[in-house]
Amino acid sequence: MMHCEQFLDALSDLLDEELDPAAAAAARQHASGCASCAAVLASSQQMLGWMGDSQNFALPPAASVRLRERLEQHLEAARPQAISAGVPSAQRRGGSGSDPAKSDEPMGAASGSQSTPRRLRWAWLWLRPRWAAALVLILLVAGLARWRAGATTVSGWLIDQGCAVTYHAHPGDHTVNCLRHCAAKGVALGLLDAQGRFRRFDAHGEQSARAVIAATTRSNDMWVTVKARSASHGVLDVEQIALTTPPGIQ
Amino acid sequence: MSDSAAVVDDDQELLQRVRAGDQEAFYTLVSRYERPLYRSALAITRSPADAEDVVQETFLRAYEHLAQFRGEAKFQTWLTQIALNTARMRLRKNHGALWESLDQPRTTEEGVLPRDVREWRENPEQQLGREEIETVLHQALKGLPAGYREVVALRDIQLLSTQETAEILGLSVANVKTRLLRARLQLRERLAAHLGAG
Repeated sequence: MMHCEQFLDALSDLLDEELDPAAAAAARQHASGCASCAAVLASSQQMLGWMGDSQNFALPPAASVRLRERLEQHLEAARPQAISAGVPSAQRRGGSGSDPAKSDEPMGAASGSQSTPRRLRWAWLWLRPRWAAALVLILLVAGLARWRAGATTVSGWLIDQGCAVTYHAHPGDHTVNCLRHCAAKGVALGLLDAQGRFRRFDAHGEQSARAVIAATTRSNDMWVTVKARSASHGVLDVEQIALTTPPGIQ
Repeated sequence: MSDSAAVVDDDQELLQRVRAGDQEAFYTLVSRYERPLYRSALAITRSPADAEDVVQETFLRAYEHLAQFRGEAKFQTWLTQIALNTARMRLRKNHGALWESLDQPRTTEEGVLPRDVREWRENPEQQLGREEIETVLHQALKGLPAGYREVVALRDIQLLSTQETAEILGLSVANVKTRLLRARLQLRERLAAHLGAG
């Protein structure tokens, strides 16, 4: 016959269903005749249910958006180094600190011997000024072309990320009051275009959108035209946002 | 093939794409694991802002050290190990001394044996609402020693197996089970103060 103390020793394994069938049966039999242990078992099961419920301690949507933005900023900077040769950028940067995951691969591997001193490697550019000028020009033209290729003007509904799902079918009904409320709570703002695609604004776009929301006298129908420098990874790099007439309204 | 095995295989495929330069594949991994990592980071750090930073730093470190992940463990296990170390560093930075001894039995009034054995009120979710339940859980977790919070965070909140929890914490399975039992009993005792009937 099991006692209360033995029951409590077995409680965790009973909850995790890691007791052998005979021990589990003995524990349950004890609980059926002991009100205290039955209460401890029932409340522990309820507690584990709450802790395992993904709605509790959930990542707020705004935090998820911030995380993505910060990662994009960092990873864009790390990309050429990290990916080009399949070598982690930390190694290329000298690998300061220890590996947080205790990996068995050593950090800070040497990047190979450099037989040419830094000053000598760059000296040839100054010896050939025409080459240097041509290189600068090429870089400028390539940069400008890339910038122009990414520039875009798009129209759609100014809406927050949370309500973009709820109002997907009728975004014109989304009220400005709701928009203000969601913006105040820190939910990311963005553009829901006519194809139903939602793209978040970058930090400048968020600021511009908030200014538009604050100034408008509309109560809904927040159709806007956005001039963006580029759109990548679902984020609009906003230059300007203007409130415009929704399609179908004269 | 089980669902769990399918996810692991899919992780490996995504990791191969990341290594080949596909950054979008990395974001797929981020969306897959940001939520479970945040939940356990929040339980360990007890601060939403710290938990958010921990998750961000975890993914950055994972990305930087990806070449060192050899696939011997599950990707989630590896990520969680990084998150745990990051959370510990943050706690150490914020609070100085971090560790309480878990080997000695606690002699506080919240010892291992339950004192409050009242039944909990019926349908607490309906009476209190989900948000209040979450607040009560959060408060109860805050009072647990760090070593107990970690084991609860990984096993009961992130829902990792006992074996995975042991691997991540560098403990034996028996040790994890002992900590888990004590942590759960303490946690239940703290919740009982709020949820006990009558």
